Amino acid sequence: MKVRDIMDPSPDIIRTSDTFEHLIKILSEAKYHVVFIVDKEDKLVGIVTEGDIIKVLIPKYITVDESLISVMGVDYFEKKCIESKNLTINEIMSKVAFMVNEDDPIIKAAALIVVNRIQSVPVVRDGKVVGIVPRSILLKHITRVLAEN
Amino acid sequence: MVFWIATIIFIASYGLIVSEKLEKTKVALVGAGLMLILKIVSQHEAFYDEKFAIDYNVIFLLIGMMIIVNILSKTGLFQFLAIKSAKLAKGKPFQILIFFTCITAALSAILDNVTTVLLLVPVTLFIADELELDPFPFLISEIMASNIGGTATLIGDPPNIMIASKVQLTFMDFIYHTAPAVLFIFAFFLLTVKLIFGRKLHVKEEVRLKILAIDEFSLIKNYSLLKKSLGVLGVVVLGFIFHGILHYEPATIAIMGAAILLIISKEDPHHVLRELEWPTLFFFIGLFIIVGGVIKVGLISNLSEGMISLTKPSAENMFVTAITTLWFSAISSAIVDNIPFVASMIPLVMDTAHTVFPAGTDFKSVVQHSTLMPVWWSLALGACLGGNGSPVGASANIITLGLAEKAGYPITFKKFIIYAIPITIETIILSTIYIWLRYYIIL
Repeated sequence: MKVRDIMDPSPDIIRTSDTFEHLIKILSEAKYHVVFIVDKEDKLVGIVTEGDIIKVLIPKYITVDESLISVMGVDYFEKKCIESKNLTINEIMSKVAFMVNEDDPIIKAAALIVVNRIQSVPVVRDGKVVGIVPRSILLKHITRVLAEN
Repeated sequence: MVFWIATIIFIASYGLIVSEKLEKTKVALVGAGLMLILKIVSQHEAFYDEKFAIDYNVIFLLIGMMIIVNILSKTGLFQFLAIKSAKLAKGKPFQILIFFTCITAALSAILDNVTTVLLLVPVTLFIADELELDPFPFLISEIMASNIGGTATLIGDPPNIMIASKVQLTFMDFIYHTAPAVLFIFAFFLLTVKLIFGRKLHVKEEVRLKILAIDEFSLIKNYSLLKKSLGVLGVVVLGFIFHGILHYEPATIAIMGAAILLIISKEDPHHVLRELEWPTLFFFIGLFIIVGGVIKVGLISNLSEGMISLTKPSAENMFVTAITTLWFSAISSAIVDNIPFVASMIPLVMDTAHTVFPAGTDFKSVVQHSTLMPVWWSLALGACLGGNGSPVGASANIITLGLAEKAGYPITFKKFIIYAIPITIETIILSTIYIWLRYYIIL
């Protein structure tokens, strides 16, 4: 079977020109905890996960010296939230490292998810997003295959 | 023929190290391998000969201190000191800058500069973030302070370790000669920091109060380990102070301290040893063999003849040689890593000494001749302080700039040198005054 046969054809998508607040709103309601970012021509250019959002709020020096976590102030997180309001989507998103074509076999989506330890993979047609294959859909597909045989 | 092959290996290695096209450790090991395989120096000479061999005193002193610092760094002491001082400064940014600069200099004098900045830079970025200030004034002052502080003692900076080992100088020799120079230079450095950044650092009252609310004691991760590490470090420093009287080499003291700390700390040696700066240690090993090769073929003697005809040292007065060495070392160390530079300069100065002073006198009275000593101090001051002159001049600079970039505060080459070059020139002018006053006026 092909990716097209199992994908969810309505992933959460926003544009690079959208605001940080809009991104947070969409992401907080996103079905698979991921939002795909597209440019003016609707081409897939990036991905934002919940982890990406939290990462921009945490100062990078913490990754060098974790012990400083214990001295961070009680209102630090809120302060960073307010500061991040003006961030652009481009500053937050990760580049798309993996994607599958709607005509690819399902095993390709499954393998990319496992090998790269990601939660879902975008499905594209001519560079435009047409769907998403998350781990949960793969599990449903396994159940179906087992039931049929 | 052998002369030219050795010279080409030496120059090519230097060129590749400066160009940074290949990692310096690889270059040094390949250069050393060529010296051995082409039999310019035999393996026996490279390992055991008094003139051409690897200086194991330097290698083991570095290993010993790296082990002690590695264990000490796990206690949270550095971060604690930084936050404590920020609170003592009542959260006032300029006072914090001065405290951080002093702590960096003091720690760099006893421990290696890279570890010092590696541990202080993240906490500096944290404080700057809390104060809502640009961290640049803090970072640049700490880099400069680290290299200035390291100049003060035998164990503060690799050039000093190398000079001390070859010239058989003691820890106290450095305390008497380079430490006063560093105090003199550091006082002017702090004034310069005040002039440059004093008026720029202001914060609102409520921001300042946030610093006072930090609980610095939560940073101490292991009190028992802290006591043990500080105890051993204290004994090791005492050992350094008395090593001349007790007739122990500094490496013996450092290795003994490291062994004791490994035992009493119950740290896993696999873990501690894996974290040592092995590339740096092998860089030293490779360089010693390369330099051994060019000493053997006579390149260093030729260069020392050049130095003699240029600076005309005599058995009574080497003022011009000292000052030339100081400035030449400073400029070179800003461009090249100061370790290969000093590794080549030491035999050059020694060769000069053997030419100038009458034959027949024993080794120690030649290399420690009172006329020659200002040249060694000039080499130490020039090589250590010159490291401040460019982003690649010293390892502490490279590490700090790397961390700053990683943390989202990149410091450009241009921005660095705008501050660094005038400050470096200032410190070298002050060193010139110190050498002149101390060794040629006061005597």
